[in-house]
Amino acid sequence: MSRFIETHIEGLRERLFRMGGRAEAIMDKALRAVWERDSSLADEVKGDDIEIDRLEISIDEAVLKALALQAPVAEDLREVLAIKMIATDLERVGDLARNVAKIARRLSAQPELPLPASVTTLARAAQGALRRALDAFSHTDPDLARGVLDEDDAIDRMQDEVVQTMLRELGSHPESASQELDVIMLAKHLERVGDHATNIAEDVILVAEARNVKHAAKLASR
Amino acid sequence: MSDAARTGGVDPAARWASAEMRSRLARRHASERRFRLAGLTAIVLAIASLGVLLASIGWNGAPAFSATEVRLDVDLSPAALGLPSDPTGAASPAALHDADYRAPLRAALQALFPDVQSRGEIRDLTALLSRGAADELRARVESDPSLVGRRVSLWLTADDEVDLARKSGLSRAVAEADRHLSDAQIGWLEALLRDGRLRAAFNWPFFTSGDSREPEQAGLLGALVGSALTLLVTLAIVFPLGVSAAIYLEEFAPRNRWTDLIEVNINNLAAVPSIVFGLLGLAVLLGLFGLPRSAPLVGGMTLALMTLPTIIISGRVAIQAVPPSIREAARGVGASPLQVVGHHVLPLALPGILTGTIIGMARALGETAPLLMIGMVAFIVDIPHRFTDAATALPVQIFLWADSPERAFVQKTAGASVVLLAFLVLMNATAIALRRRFERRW
Amino acid sequence: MGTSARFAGPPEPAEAREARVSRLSETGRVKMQARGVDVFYGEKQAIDSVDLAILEDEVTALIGPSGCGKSTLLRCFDRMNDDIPGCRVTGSITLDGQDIHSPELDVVQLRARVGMVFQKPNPFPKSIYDNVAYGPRIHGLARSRAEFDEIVERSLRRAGLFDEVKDRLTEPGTALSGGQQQRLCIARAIAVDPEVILMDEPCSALDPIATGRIEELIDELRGRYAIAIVTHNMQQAARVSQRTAFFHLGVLVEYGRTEDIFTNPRVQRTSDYITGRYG
Repeated sequence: MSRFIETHIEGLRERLFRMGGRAEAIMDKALRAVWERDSSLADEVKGDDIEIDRLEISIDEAVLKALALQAPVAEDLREVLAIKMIATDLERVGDLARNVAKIARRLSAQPELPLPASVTTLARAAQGALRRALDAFSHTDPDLARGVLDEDDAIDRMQDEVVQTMLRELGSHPESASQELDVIMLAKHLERVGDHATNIAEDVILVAEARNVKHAAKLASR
Repeated sequence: MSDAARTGGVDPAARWASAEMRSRLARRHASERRFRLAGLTAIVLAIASLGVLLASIGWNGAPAFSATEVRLDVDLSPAALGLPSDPTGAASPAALHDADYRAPLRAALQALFPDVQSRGEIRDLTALLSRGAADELRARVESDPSLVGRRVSLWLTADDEVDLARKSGLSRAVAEADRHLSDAQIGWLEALLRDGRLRAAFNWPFFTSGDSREPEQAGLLGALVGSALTLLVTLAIVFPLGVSAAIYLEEFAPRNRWTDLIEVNINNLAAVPSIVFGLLGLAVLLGLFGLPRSAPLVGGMTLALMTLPTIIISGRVAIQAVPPSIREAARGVGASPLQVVGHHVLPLALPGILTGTIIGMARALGETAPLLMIGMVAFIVDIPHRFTDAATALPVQIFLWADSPERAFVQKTAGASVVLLAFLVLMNATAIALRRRFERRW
Repeated sequence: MGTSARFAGPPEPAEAREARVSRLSETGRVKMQARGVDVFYGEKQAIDSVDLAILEDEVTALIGPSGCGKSTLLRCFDRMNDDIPGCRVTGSITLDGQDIHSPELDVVQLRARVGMVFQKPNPFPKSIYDNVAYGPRIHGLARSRAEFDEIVERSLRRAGLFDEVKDRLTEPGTALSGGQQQRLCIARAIAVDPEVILMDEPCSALDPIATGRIEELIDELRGRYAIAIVTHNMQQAARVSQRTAFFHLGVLVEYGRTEDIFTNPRVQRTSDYITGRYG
């Protein structure tokens, strides 16, 4: 009995790891394209994203098969569902990377705008959050996941800081308005990456502790 | 919602405790008690009847197992035996056989009672010994010729009247004219008893000798051997035929109107009175085939016909009891129908078949009517050796003895009944033990 | 073909049926093929015009509500229905292309090549050793005691029972637990080295742990034997089989890969059954 569901789950996890690795790589490539002003790197991102989309479809089919054929329960069921949800988040990360790549192309085509340190910090924080969330899933580590949840506020603040800075720059250097707007967009995308990392972390906690901690802040404030 | 509200106004607890319910309960208990009492009474009556029957048979038959013996000091000198005194020593077997053994016995008796002189009194005295006592003496001398020339003290069988007298304590309660033993004879017996020369002994001849006109010599051996030979014939016919028929009907025969007809007929045959089979044996075996009368062969064949339906029915039941899942499993592995029967069904059904066979044999052992019809009722002295020798069977022997006039045969009849019952109980107990032992097979 | 009107839908034309059957066998090698099989019990028709293949290296599950004929069809493959009086089987059933009803094929040998495991475990009331050795003995598959020993050990190992019973091979087979008895029956079927194993609801008399072990065993065995299993437990069919055939009232309603049947059945009645909206 156990060997059937285990085989399915192992297959799903393997696919998800691949997807996660790709997502991290693609985001890293897109960000490097921004900092290194390398539009050829930016062009590669599109092809990479298609790979991620394919993986999502494959995971969809595998999840459907696992649910129909194995009727998993308890932790197995939560894990299968979590894998589906994380795949969705990773696919969005891929899309975000595409958007970041577009920003990279635009920025490299224009005179260089020195990026404030806060953007770098934000980028590192977002990437770090994603990596740690995926690690938390790989080890089913709820504590690591909670760490990611705690960082979410910090990432939000970093994003606010970048936006504030850029808004001031927009006032003082209106000639580079399009770059400054792009930087604001970049910050927003990075904040979205942080959100997806948070989602992944919440799914890990669901698997490990059978607790749904989503939208905790919003629900608490009601 | 309260209990009362739920059941529409009646409190359940009160309902079951009401006077009406209580009286119903009491009536039910009373009728159950009556029923149990009736069952108990039935059982007690049945056991009591059985007990009375067994007790009366046992009481009447027990004396048959003991006989009376007299100790005599017999002078076996060649002169007393009427043998030529041969200085070379041993006499020839023929001479030993033809010697006079009555004379030494008479002499021994006279030695004990020297007052007995007249012819009539001497006759009365020697009548105390069994008429076969001389033969007993002959048998002893022939088996041990060194006895010749010696004076030996021997226990010899007494006459049946002496036996009866001893068993009733040598009483003179009945008037002499109505008795078989005269006062003088009883006096001699009392003297012998005082001398320690009269004793009760286990009646071995009852089991080791054949039938005889002399009650004290009459034994069951002939009947036992006859019954054994007959049952052997019955078994040899009924077991292979019956078991094969049962197997065929259960495993191989198609289920159609013909097989239904056969089954009905077999069931009916099992209920046919046994004497009808006797008539059949008489007409067909003796009349048509001209087989020898009174032979265990014919008796066995007749009893086989009678027992066959029972064996077939019990065989079928035993085979039906084998679960079909075992047959399916065997077929699934690729066993042919014959292998299914031989490797699986038959070994599992065998205990049941054996039980049925033993019960059938027990029934055949006790059957008298068919054997009477085919003539196994003659007075047979010799022990039968072959299946074609004339013989009798145990129940028939009982019937014959019951007919005889001598008083001693009454005891023997009851004794033989005890033996017959003992065999029947033994066979049935074996059957039950077998059944119990093999019951928890699967 | 007439009674296909039993389920709503026009009867399948013969060419379309041929095409469908041969398409299914493309992806696997066909070990046994039933074509146009009808089964009658006296006047009553139990199976109507069924085409079904049992493929090598795969487990084919037959599912359907009670009385739909799946067990009856299964028993056609080793001609166990021959022993039921009044039962008539028509149509063609082949093993490696050879018609199993032809007079040249001895039914006893057929049953050595096509083994069966029954719903209620039915070991012989003999020792464990003799249970497993019985088949090889009657088919003459071994000559010496050593050869028998080897066959018994191999079969018990493949059935996953050897380690539990190796010290008590002389004990009666009926002394084992239900799950062990069923594995013994599987070992008994394996001992004659069959090519196909038919299983008629092998787990329905067992508790969930024993059932799980048997399911794992079935998955292990399918690499060596073609397996067909009748089950009333749809979940079991989903777990264990690669192909599933859904029966209803003696008609084969749908036959395809298990994952297709359970994620997207093509016939409405199939969907009604597996979602539990029917029966």
